[in-house]
Amino acid sequence: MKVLRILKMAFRALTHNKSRSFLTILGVVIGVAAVIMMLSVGAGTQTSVLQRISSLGTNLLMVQPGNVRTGNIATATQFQSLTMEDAQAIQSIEGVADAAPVANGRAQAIAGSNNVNTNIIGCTPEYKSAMNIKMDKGVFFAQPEVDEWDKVAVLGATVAKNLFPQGNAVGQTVELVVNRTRATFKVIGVLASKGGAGFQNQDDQILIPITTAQKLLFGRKNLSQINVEVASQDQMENVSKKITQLLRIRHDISSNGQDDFTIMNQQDLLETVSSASASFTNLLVGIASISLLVGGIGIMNIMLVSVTERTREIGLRKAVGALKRDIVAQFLVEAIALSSLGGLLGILFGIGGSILFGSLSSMPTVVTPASILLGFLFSVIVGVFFGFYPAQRAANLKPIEALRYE
Amino acid sequence: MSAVIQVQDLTKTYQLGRTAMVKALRGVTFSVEEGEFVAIMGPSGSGKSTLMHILGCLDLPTSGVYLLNNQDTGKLSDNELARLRNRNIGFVFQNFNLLPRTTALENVELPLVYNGYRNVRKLAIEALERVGLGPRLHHRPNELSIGEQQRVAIARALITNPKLILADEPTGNLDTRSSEEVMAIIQSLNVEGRTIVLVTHEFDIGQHAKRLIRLRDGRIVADEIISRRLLAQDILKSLSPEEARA
Repeated sequence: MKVLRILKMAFRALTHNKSRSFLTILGVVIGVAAVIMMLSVGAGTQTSVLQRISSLGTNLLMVQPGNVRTGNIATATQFQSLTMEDAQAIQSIEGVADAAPVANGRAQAIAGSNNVNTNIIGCTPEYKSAMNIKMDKGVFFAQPEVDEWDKVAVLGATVAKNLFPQGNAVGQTVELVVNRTRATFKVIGVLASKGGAGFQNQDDQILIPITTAQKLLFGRKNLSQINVEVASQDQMENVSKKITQLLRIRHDISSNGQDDFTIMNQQDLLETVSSASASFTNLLVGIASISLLVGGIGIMNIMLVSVTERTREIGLRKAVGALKRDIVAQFLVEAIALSSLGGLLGILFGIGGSILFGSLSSMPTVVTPASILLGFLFSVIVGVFFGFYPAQRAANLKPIEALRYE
Repeated sequence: MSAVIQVQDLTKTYQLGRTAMVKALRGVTFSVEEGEFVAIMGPSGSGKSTLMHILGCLDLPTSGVYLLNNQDTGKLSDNELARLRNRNIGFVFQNFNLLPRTTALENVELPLVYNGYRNVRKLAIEALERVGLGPRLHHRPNELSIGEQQRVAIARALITNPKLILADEPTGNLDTRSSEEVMAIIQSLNVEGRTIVLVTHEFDIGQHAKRLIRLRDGRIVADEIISRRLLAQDILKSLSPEEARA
């Protein structure tokens, strides 16, 4: 039997009951749209995070307290192992261009009647070049401010917008509150927006001198991280080894004891973030697929109804010589037509939804051709899978019983 | 002359619920030669429809042998039976069984479509012209009169050029004039040499055949040659002009 004729038959059957066909495919539409949107969120997040990591430069080593082991679980008891003195010691290792200590935490930032909860980064002036930071207004703090524990702050773009909606942040004061500690800071600069997203949004942070952060705000001496810039790339491994030796001696770790710190380079970070973001995406897609499954069940339901309604038609077709496979083909094509039409609509809605979502939220979204292909493929598979049983049932009807059916 | 249909001791028992059994056929034996025109008559419940379904390979007998063109139908698979129906039998049903929302042409093409034929359209047009529906090719069943619908169904039965035409109460839903028009076509098909088996409970319609088999309670009670058969063409001429369609 000619393919064109089967398609024509399916088209006629589906257009005869337009509203029913539409409602039937709605499940698949929503499922495919959800899958595409979730994939676009996942891809967008990954792209932006990876871009940011790449912009860190290839000769950067990050020394963090705790020990990352298989399964990415840091041992929490050793979180307070890095100090300013460690940073200074690392600075003096041969091949290290710069060792920039970072101490961060969260704080409530208050300016007049506005307040936000944000990320506080205590750092040194070198942080600006290491993280590739650009200023929008004002200036970044310099070494004298760090040495004198000055209470000056540089605001991220989002924070500045939320605290000072009029845009006159520089020169104003902002109060930072951590637990019961309060301190008033003078705003000396605002960062240019990076439009970032994910777990390290660079627009949602306040940078202050590290000395001020440790002594006035957080009241602790340990560091969150030491960013080590290595003089040249071929020294990376060597420097990394030397830092390990140095810190083990400084931290009094016996020869068979475990490191209480982790040294990561850009590659390690990329791998960690990629795998985290991939499992995040998988989770989202998994949830979205459930609605696709439900949509498929809807199609099966309607196909079974359709087989019952058209029992006499099936009987007639069999009487005039339709083989089992002819009947199977007819109903399977109808189911696939339903589901793939749903898939196409879902792709349109998914693309539209991702664009809308990306523009309304700070999450970047990227619709990849692979996700479109995947969405369409899924919908066709749903049609085949859920259309097969009704088609089989139609094909196995006895001709005389089907013809006599009232 | 060779036998188109050979039926030997055919029985059919229906199971109704757990205990009730209906013996629709209780041992039927007869044969039909090529070119015959047989009417099967009997009151309702006599088993004539059951016999028709078995002859059409739409249903299988409980016991007995049915040879169609000397081929034992009891040994064929579902798909082989479908091919057999497609190539050897043309069906005309009481309620036409046309596909709704489908033009006359496409309805007539259907058996050929399942036959893998090319140039289906040309043959379908010829078949519809044959039954006088040349101007109605693209009408859908709901745009045709009852009589025209049955003529579309006859065209569909003709399109595979089968030797055997099975007509199950073809005039059951039709008025006198349409009935005679349909019978005229069926008689002309017989003149061409096609074998016709007609099931009816109307005495007058039965008299259009050449041979009459009477069934009662699942058994053949009479099998006779009709000496003074009715000719539909003559009856159509005798119908008053007011009854004639424009």
